[in-house]
Amino acid sequence: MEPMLILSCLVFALAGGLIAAAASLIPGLHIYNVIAITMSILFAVEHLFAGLDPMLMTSFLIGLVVGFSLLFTIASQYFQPCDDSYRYIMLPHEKYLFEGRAHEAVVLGSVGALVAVLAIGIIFPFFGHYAAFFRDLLRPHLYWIIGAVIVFLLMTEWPKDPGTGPTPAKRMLDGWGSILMGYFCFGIAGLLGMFIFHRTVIPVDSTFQSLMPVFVGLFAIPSQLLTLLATVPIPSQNVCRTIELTGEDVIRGGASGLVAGLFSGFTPAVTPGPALLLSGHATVTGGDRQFIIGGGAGRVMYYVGTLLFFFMPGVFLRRGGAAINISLFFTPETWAQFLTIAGLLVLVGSISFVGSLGYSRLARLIVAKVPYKWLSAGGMVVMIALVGYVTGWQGLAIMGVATLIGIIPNLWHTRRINLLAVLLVPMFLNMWGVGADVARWLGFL
Amino acid sequence: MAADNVHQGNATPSADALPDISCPSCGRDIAAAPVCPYCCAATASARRVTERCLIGWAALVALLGIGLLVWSAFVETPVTPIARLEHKGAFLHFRVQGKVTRTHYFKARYRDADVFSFFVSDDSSDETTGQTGTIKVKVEGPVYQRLQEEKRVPREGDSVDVEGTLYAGEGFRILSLNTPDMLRNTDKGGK
Repeated sequence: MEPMLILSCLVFALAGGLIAAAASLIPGLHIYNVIAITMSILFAVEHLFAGLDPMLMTSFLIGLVVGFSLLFTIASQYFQPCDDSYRYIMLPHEKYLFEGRAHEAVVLGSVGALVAVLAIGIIFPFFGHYAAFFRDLLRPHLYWIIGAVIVFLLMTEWPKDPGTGPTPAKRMLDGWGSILMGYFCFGIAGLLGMFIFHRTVIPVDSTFQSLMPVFVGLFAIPSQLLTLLATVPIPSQNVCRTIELTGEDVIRGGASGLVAGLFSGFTPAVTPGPALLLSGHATVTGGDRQFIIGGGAGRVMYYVGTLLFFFMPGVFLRRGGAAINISLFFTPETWAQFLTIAGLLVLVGSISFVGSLGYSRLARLIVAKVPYKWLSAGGMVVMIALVGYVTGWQGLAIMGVATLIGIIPNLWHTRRINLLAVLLVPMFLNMWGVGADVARWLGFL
Repeated sequence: MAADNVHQGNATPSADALPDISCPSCGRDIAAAPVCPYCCAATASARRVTERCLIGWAALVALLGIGLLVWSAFVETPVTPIARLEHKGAFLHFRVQGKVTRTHYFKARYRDADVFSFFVSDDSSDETTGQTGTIKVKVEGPVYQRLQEEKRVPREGDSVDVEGTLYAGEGFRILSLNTPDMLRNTDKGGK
């Protein structure tokens, strides 16, 4: 490729990274929401970009994805405290916030992200062509692999009640209550997924973002609502110059994250969350640090690594919202393009890592001065406006339904991971070949 | 000094001489405890990494990224003999070199787009597959317009170096030119 074009791509990628940094301050916002609004604006002013090389806009989106995947969790790290009135499980990064160690948690997550960026930079250009082999090997088996993931999610639901009811019947009811509500969440989210996949009401112009209102409703809005209801104070946060970290933490946490990211990249409908749950069991990771590092590595490998498969000659694996949106205006072809994108990913990734250290300090200052409820309220308004702008009133209606479903796990102390049935169930049925029959039986076709 | 020794993990001060140091993780005062009693973080420097060290790692990773960008500036698609392009390579990217033997132009009415195609021949042949050394290259819409604007539309007799996506199946092989930069007229000797 021409050196000038490569330099221009770098400028566009860095610009994307900067936009991602600004957008990452909004709690609850997802990278695909930002891409959705970017694509809507691009399509509206398409004539302005008609003469540009498509590699430039691709680089911009790449910078956006890389920057966001490293930075977007910092806002939720600082601005979303866990209130145990509504939550049964406190995750390690939430524990760190209450210990005044949010900055250390951010750095640990970023270390995981850096491990993934390094792995992408080394493994993909030299061994990436094996991806086509694995893709072809896995393709006929994906439906039962997704089915096994579903079974694992349902099997690992457990009673959350401490068993203090006065009678055995009451204790039995309390124990099964949260389990059954978990299964209920799974079932109703699966039903919503079947509707979205087979009879969506999103306007045709916006169907490239038909899942956006569902995910905002199921996950983002309920999180912000609970933050609005939360009453816990956030303690003063310490900015540490050194973090507790051992080589074993980096290797075990990084390995579980990389396995999770690659698994979710190859398996449709499996996002990094459940994939990390699986890989954590498979690689026997332990402790808070390995969990946080694994989360950072898995997130980057899923969002960034699998996006690189889309550019890999001979593989062209299109997974995730970013690849789908880029494929609307760009068809990758050559090794030179692939290497340029890989180089941009690694360079912007390492710059974002350094940026995350300062970004965490900024978030600490903000949370010390601005009540976190205001930030969550602001984030919620932005997300609702985005859904309305991109998908119209139909999207808002779907988002409303999804929000009602998304709030159930918090009210009944079940796991939110069951809500991923919105993707798992329709994908499993469709890949099995019975999706249309089930949709017809449900009255969606 | 005493605090430094404690951080190095090689000093065990007596209880009455405990220095006032804070936990490097949570910032609370913990005297000389090797493990913070509040957040359970290890305070010994052997189990801790500095931010400066992490930035150094990130700089090394950034060098890898720069290396990949430099590599991309030098990498070229290898030239494939036209006779060896077959359906197994469908949807992959190939580069061929040869002479333009025929050109053809028509305006597709159903989508109001110009379609220009030309045949490239490199005299190769493959006896096992029976493939000849001639392939059709298709140029559509805005790509053709750009070639016209730059006066680079190939003519019969030109030598060209062209890269594109192969569409191949039973009885047909087409190389689709997706960007104007992937066509290089190496010899404008045509009529």
